[in-house]
Amino acid sequence: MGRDDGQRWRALNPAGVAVLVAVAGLWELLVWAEFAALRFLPAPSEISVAARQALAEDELVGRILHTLGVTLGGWAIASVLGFGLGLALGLSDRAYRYSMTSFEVTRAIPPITFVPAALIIFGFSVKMELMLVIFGGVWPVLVNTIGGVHAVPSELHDVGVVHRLGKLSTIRKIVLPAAFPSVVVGLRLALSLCLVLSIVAEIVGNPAGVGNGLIRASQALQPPLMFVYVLVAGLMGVVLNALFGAAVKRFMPPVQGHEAQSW
Amino acid sequence: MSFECRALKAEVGFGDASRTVLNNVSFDVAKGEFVSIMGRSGVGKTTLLRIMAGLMGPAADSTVMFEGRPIDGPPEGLSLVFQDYTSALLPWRTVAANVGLPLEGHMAKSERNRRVMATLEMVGLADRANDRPPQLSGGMQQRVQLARALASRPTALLMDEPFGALDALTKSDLEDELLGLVAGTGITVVFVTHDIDEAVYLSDRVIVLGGTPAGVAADVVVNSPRPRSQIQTRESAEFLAARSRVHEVIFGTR
Repeated sequence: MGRDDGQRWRALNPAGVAVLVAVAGLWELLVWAEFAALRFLPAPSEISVAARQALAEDELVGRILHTLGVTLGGWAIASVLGFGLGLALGLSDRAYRYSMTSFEVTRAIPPITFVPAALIIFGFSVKMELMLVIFGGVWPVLVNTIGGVHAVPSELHDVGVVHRLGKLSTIRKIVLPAAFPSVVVGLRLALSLCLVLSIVAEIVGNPAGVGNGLIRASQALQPPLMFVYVLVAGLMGVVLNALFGAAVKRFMPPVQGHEAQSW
Repeated sequence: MSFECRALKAEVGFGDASRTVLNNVSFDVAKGEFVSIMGRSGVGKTTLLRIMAGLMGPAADSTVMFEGRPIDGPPEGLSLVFQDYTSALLPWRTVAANVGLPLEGHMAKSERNRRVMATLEMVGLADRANDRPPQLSGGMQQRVQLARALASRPTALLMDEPFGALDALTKSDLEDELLGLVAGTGITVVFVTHDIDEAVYLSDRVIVLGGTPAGVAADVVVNSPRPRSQIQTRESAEFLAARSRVHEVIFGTR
């Protein structure tokens, strides 16, 4: 586990960072040489100045905390809902038969289209933002939990039956661990989606958080600050994903190095 | 008597797609006997074994009994070794935890650990107790399955082509190990295989299934003395006679 981590970080660091620095440098050059003579495209140096200014005030941190809170809160609720429903639908063929049509239809609606409806129902509020985040985040967890439960090999069910484990023990000792990797994939997809949706909700609805900061900087014609928010949103995605990966490694059933992926 | 099958009939599939696989299958397996079930691919060997394991029910009016009681679910005292070890072992559990699975809830933890280690000792895997199945070779994984099946000290063992996926050398090792493990324990073994030599080498009797739907085409007694050896037994007249007989029944006289 530790060795795997080390390799991943070593592989990421020198080469990857060098490319990133080179791209930023090139961008800087092009802007100053006026090759990319776009009026509102700031150079990386201008963005970093704006970032230092923004960090000196409390506003940026407050916005980040708001967006993080909504993303994680909405994700947690979506995860519990999606996992619970997914488990029930995965285990019960009858529940699956009766409800999957409704779920498929609802799932096909892009969450963004609910923004106007949510705005009318909940107003410009955190509630509206949370609703959108939960609505979007629940599907990946639900679908991957159902898929994980359905993909448990029939031999494993037979193992439970032959050893007379009983229904609950079979679920706890066999179905859940076997479905776990698929559930984790769903949780990870949902986390990224929840961040995106909270930012969307803040851009169009709830006047708070990183999304609102971004749209205000844009409307105030402050491109460097706007790009600070773009980068902050990107960094939040990276950090959330990394934290999630670390948590999975920490709490997941310990299976040797390269096989960790498949379990 | 360990198993009694009378006029056993089995259907697979549902409704219009349902088809009779086994019809009028009758045989007994005595306590402590080693019986192989043979037949061409698709003849219903695994279906028969699943019925005997209580994993599926036979058609109405069939009688299948284990130790005098009708089988209506996996009976106590019976273990099953699956064909495909990669999907029958729990890869997230250690070898020891896999072997301990059938004992959970039936005995104290310390007693369970002792039993698990003793059983792993029997199959020669005590030093791999803390590894996980995907880290072991195929032969070792099948040994883990055998240990899991034996851990609950069953009186009968059902095995579904357990060595079919192994290379010839590992297979021959495991055959002898299995014979060593069951010798003197009085365990009844019902062994499904598609390998004539393996069936004759291991068994006291070979039941050959044939026909559509399949019935008992032959019940061949193997008179080779025990303990058996891969060299002497396979050259003995009794072995060769039984082998030819099984061959004849499966392929017809040539």
